[in-house]
Amino acid sequence: MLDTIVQDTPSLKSNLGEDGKGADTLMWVQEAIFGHRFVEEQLPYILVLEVLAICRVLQLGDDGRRYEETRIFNHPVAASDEHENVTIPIVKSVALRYILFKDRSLDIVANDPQLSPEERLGAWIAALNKGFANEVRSGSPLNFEYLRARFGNRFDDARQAVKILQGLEIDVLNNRRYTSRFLAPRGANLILNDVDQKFVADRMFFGRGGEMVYLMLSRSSLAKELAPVIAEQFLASRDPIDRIAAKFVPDAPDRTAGGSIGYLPKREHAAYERMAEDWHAILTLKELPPPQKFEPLFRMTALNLMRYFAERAQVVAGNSVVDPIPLDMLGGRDANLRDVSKAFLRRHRQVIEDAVESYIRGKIEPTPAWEAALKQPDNAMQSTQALEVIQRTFDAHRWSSKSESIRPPEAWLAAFIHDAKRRSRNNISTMITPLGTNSGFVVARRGAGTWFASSDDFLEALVLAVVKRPITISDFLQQLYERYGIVVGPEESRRAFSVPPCDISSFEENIRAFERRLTGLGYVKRLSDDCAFVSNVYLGSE
Amino acid sequence: MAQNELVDFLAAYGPTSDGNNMYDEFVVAAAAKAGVDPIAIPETRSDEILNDLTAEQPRSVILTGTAGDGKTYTARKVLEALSGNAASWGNTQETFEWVDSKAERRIVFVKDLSELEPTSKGAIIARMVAAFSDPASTEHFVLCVNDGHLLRTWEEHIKGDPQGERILATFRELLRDDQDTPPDGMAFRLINMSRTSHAATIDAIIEQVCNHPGWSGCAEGCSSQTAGTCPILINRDVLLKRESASLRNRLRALVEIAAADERHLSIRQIIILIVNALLGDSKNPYQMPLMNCARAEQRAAAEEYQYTNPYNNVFGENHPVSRRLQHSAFAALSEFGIGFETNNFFDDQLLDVDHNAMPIDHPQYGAASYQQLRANYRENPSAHIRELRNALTAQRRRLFFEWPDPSSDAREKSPWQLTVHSYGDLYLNLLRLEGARDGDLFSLTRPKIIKGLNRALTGSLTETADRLWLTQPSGVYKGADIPILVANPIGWKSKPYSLNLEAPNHPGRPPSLELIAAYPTRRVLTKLPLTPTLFEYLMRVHDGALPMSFSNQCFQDVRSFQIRCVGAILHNEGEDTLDFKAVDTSGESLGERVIGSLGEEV
Repeated sequence: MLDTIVQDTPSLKSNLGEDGKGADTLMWVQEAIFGHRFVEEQLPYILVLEVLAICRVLQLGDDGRRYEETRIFNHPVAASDEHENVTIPIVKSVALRYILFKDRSLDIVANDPQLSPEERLGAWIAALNKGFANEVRSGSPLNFEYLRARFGNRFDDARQAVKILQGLEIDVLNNRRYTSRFLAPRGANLILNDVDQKFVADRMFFGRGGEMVYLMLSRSSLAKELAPVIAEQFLASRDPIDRIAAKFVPDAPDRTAGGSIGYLPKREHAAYERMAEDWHAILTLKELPPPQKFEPLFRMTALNLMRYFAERAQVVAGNSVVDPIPLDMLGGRDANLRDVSKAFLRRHRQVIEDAVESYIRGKIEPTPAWEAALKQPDNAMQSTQALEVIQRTFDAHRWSSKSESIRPPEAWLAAFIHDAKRRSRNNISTMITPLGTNSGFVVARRGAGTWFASSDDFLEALVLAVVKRPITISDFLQQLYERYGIVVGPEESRRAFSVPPCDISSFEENIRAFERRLTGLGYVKRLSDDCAFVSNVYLGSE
Repeated sequence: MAQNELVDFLAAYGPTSDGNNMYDEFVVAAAAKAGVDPIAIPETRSDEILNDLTAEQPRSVILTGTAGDGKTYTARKVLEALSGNAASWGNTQETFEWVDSKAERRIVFVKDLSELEPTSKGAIIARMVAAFSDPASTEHFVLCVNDGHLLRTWEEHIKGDPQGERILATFRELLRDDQDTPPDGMAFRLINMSRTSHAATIDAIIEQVCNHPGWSGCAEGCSSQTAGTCPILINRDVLLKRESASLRNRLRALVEIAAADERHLSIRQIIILIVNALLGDSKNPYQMPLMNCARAEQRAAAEEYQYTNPYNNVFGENHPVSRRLQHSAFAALSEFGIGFETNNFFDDQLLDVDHNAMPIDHPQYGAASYQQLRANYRENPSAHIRELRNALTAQRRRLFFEWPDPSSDAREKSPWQLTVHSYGDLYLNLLRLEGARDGDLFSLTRPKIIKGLNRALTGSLTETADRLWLTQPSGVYKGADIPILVANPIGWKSKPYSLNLEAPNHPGRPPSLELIAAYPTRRVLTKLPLTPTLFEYLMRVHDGALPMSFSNQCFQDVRSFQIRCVGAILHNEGEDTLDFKAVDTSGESLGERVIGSLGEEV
């Protein structure tokens, strides 16, 4: 079984005002355990986009020029219990967003028989200006006249450039509003922020989860090495498409003042190190071009986040071990294995709920105010007092729906715990499943349920992140177990479970499927009868 | 009828259910019992091993490889040579220590690391670690072990010892890269016996088996021999044929292709194939899979040659399926699908649609063996289809081995059409080194590979076959893809990047397609191992198969090669600006689509 610490360590002071008062939340419970904050709507790939957007804007001065020195992950603090105080401005990319995702006049102008080729660019600019004034409420007007200089009055070039950039849209079938659509990150100009209709930072999809990941990377011991690598892979301007995008960016300033970064409670955590190692491993693969790095990156980010949640929850709930991840390779064909995997996914969610309860009780029950409330003889006063203590302790002033009734303190506390577990937003327990399904390590199938199962893309990401030299399959599995608690074969199952959760033959079948699939993906090289190596084909050699 | 001792002795080499005869020790004993010479496996390694052990700077030798590759056999030869036949290594001894009195040093022979007692294993591995890491060691080892066992036992017993860890890491690298000599400072060599070409030894084995002096025994009053009806002797003649279209040559081709597909056959397995083809009898697979002289005479008398057909039995037809699959030799050959792959040209020949005589016939195993079945089938197809089908399988197999290679433009008449590797002849040619290959066939193959790759990468039915159009996938998660050209189209002689088709550097390895950079120094940037399956895939895509649906695994291999090429080129270019061109796939040939004036400006 994996070694674990059972004692929780002190958390950092909040950077969002005392006890999170600066943050607009219903209560400060999961925020204190895991961070402020993670939202379900933020799909794993958007987490990474948010990280990249932060990195990008930190390298960008108020005048729109890029800083030469590396500003990413460089946030010294005065005291060890102090949280980094980072202000994150937002690059609005108003013009680019409007042209790519909102404007409908481009094809109309292109197909207008009345216009001569020389007139088309001018006609398009006029249509853009008019459309923008009518449709966009960003406050400041925008004149698209700069496009004339950028494209030298060659309308067809401009149109082709738009088509190329539109082809870079990620997740096209997901029909979001035009201010929440994103491009594949191949260069600084292609990294778009999530904004609302007024082009103000929006928390709908950039829900601060990327800020959490950013802080984790920044606090890891690899931060100094990782910063230039991120800059080189995603912020450099050698990509030709990035330079096409630059043509649509006006010279005018395009940044908002920005707000404070979210709150992440722990200064150090093993999960930060693993996250940073995986980022570094993927980003330094020599033979994998930057555009192909994005996908494995977000899949591993999601896995590391889930491990972070599991490890934090285990400590706060006071459990002795972190639950393993029995990872199904058979696509659910083996019902026993599927049931085991399903049970452990449920456990992951349960432990988070246990942690919520432990945290609430541990924080409020020893306080003199709570004890005073318990001793209050008058029922009505006791009820009011208990509610007040709860609201104050957990910064839950808006949690008052049932304040009309008179209840004993324990009933108030039970109701609060119930609501804290069942929150509809910022709830880590309900976030696990979407995090996993959108990264390829959880499947949800109607009639069969939801369990840990690996997609081919996820398997590929594991190889790219973990394998640094050819290793045997059993070594690979051992590393997957020791790093992430992933259980595939009988060997790891013996280490993870004192009592076998199902017949060992299921794990044997699972490991065979694992090898078959890795071979199918081209990552296994077999030597003689029983010796196979997993090799990361994109490592490159010097 | 006479009884020839040799036949019974050869049967000892055949496929048995216990697999005992995979071991050298067993066969040595069997030969002594029968009073005939054992089959002497051609062995080429002992001289160089002897050199390693007796050089001024002596070093240990590790022999790895699959069971039956001749590890123990070779070690035994080395010991014989070292001691001048004085020392004998008993069959039951797991280790043998030979002390060189002159040089005051000791050479320890270890037969099989995995057979040692767990307690002695740890001790001997500690001694090996010392010997391998100290060039001045006075103790050396000749260690026979299968590579999987080597890594596993080593891992289990070194327990964090840094010297041992270093050696283990070296083992892994040597095995991965097919190298045998570790970096300086380590006093051992690792010889992978599975990287020896056993294709060349097929001839030697057939000679040993079919020209064994013991065959003279047949002349002593055997009526079948005189009448020329003995199936064993008929099969022996089939095996002795040396034409390019013969059992021996095509079998060698199959063994070579299987090896390049990571299905290496050991010497012992090849002997099994040959003996099984010679003596196989499929009448009672469960009781008597091999003929002895008595049974051979029964088959001859009843003219039941369909059971003794060597073209069929070489695939293990004379064994029940479960036993057949235990032998990797039969499993490897079955992968070719010979007998089950159909082809109009050959089936027309076999079914005699044109009422011509069978062009490539055989008195016992050809048309004579199934013309009655064919006639029955014509009378009543539904009642006789099953038996005819079995006969056709055997006939297709015979034709695969015996049909001559057609001219290069008549692919439908190629015997390789009867296998899943329908371009096997082209592939075999790629396994040859430059001086030894057929230049015409080679120059016919190269454009096919490029066209296959271009079709797979662009998803269009392009005809472009001279240059590879390498595009970078845009990598848009769940989005559309605009492929952008990474470098000017790459040909065999272009600059700065070019392609090269490199013959395998070790027997049993596939050839590879290499991407070569001319600057800063000329070097291989990345390569695509052309396994037989991938090669066949490219040929079929070249012929019009759809890249994704034909084989997803091969498509993944091609895609990964594409990505690695792009990554390596971007890495090589450094900060230099890339050209910005898209690929126009609308025409018959691929063309550049310059993106307005954007290309020049950015």
